[in-house]
Amino acid sequence: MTARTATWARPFAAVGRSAGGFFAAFGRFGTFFVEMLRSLRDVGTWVPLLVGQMRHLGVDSIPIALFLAAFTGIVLALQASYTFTGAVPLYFVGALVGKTMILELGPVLSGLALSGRVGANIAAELGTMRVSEQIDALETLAYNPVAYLVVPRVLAGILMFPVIVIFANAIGIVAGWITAINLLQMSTDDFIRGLRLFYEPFDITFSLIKATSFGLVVTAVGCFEGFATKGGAEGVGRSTTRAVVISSMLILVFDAFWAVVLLQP
Amino acid sequence: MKLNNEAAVGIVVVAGIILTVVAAFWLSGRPWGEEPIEVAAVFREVGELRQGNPVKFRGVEVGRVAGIDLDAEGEGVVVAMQISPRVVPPADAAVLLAPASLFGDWQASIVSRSSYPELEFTTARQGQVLSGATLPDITQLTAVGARIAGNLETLAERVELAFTEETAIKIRETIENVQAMSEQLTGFVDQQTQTYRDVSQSVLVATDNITQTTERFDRVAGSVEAAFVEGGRIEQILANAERASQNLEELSQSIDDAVVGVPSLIAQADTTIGELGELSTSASRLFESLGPEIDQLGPTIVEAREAIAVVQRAAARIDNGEGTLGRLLEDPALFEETQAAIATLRRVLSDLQANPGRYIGEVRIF
Repeated sequence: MTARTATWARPFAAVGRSAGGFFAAFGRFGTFFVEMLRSLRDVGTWVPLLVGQMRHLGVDSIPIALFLAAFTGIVLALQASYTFTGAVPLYFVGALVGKTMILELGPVLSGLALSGRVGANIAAELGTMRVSEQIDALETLAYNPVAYLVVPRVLAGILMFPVIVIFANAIGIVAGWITAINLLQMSTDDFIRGLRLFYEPFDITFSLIKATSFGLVVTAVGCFEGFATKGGAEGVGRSTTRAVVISSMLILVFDAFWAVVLLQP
Repeated sequence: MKLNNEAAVGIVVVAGIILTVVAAFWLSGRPWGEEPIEVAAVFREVGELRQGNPVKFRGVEVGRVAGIDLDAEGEGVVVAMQISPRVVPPADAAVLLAPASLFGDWQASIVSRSSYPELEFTTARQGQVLSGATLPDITQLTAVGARIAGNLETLAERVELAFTEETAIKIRETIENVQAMSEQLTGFVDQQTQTYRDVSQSVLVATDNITQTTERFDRVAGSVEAAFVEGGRIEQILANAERASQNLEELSQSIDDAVVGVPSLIAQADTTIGELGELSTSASRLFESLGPEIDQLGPTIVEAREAIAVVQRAAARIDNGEGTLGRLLEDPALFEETQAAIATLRRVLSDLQANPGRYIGEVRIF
């Protein structure tokens, strides 16, 4: 006999179910991640696929990342000059554009953009394979589906995201520089002076660390959600949405995490 | 031509790596094509200096701060710098840390120590390590400024508290008093000036008089001199004057002697007067106490006069040989008989004392 939940206790029951579902999903993701690490041993399966995924997930994603970065650099330069008017020397525009692009906006905006493009793509692709039982077919053919489908994508994301972010940073700074010399009547020397003013070698390292972690998050979450897809085309849509939402949230969480861990004085 | 996957990925990856290296090198500000040299300096503290901050020499950026760490003893901070090999530091080179602007960016400058005698540089323990000094941060200066501003504000508040309307009125009154006093002083000075002018005029007149007197004295002296020349009368006059002077001296001596006794005389007189005063006081008290008796003395004197008159009359009768006493005084036979009777009476009394039974027969009571 199933015990009926009292009316007043139903909200608490809902919270309990959500918490249980969260921890269950967390546990499933942990199991999935461990399986992915184990699959790294199946080198013969994932290596031939790695370059293709790097091209597909990395190289083909560069234009959207550069587009975002360029406009971000322009906006940064203009907003910096607007903020500094009359109080702070304009060469600080270079400092603000450089620091902000390298430390924050380059990795985060690129990560968010790629979570939409790459994460959604992976979740939809693998979800479709799941609902169309192609993954089951791979298992039937004695393929390790994780090594075949997940590892190349995740490694491609880990390897290519930093490269994308490097280009995004460079394009963002260049866009800011062009904006500064054309719209703000700044000289190139002033912009470079500001750019170098607060530069520290660790800035680039920090940016690459974040980009790597974002690549891992976006691809791993996309693969997990795709593998967990149920319910046909509708389920694929849900998985895609969940992959984008969760990876975007995790990007921000990791952004704060790295700032706390690596930028604490 | 479409690149295959390997080529596309390879190009992107290589481009990314090159971009990263070049960007890092360029942003660090290191000069191209030359190997930087390492320079270290020790400081007590480094303020807001950070790794990557510029190193300047004579105002030209020649390198970057490569590292910051505490020294082995933990008593100072060692700053490692990478600078251009073209830099030729002075013999007494030192490193000065200072804010590069008002916005928290710092820089290291390679300077000649003798150019900053007012600064206290650290003492480098090793030969390859330069000494260093750190200028105060702008925040410290602003903090000092803020403290000064606070003190001024407090001072202003206190002045505001002290400078009330009443104080202003008093100050105004004081100023008016000072002004009045100044005017009085001006008048006084004018008056004194006039007085001095009058005195000066008097002095001039007196000077004229003295001049005239001197002239007269000269004439008298001339006359005296002429008299001396003539002799006679003047010598006599001088002798008389000398005698008169001796007489006056003797008189003065006498007066002095007389005067010597006067104080003691005055003292005695004072004593006498004092005693008289006391006596007068005693007499006054006596008279006061005798007042009632004196009031009764009148009748007593009257009675005494009457008694004396009686006695005088009796004496007169005795002198006249009247009465018993007169007769006794005037008649010797009576006197002798009286004497014989008294002798006889004495013998009878003696016999009575010796032989009472002879005269008294019986004594009875009741």
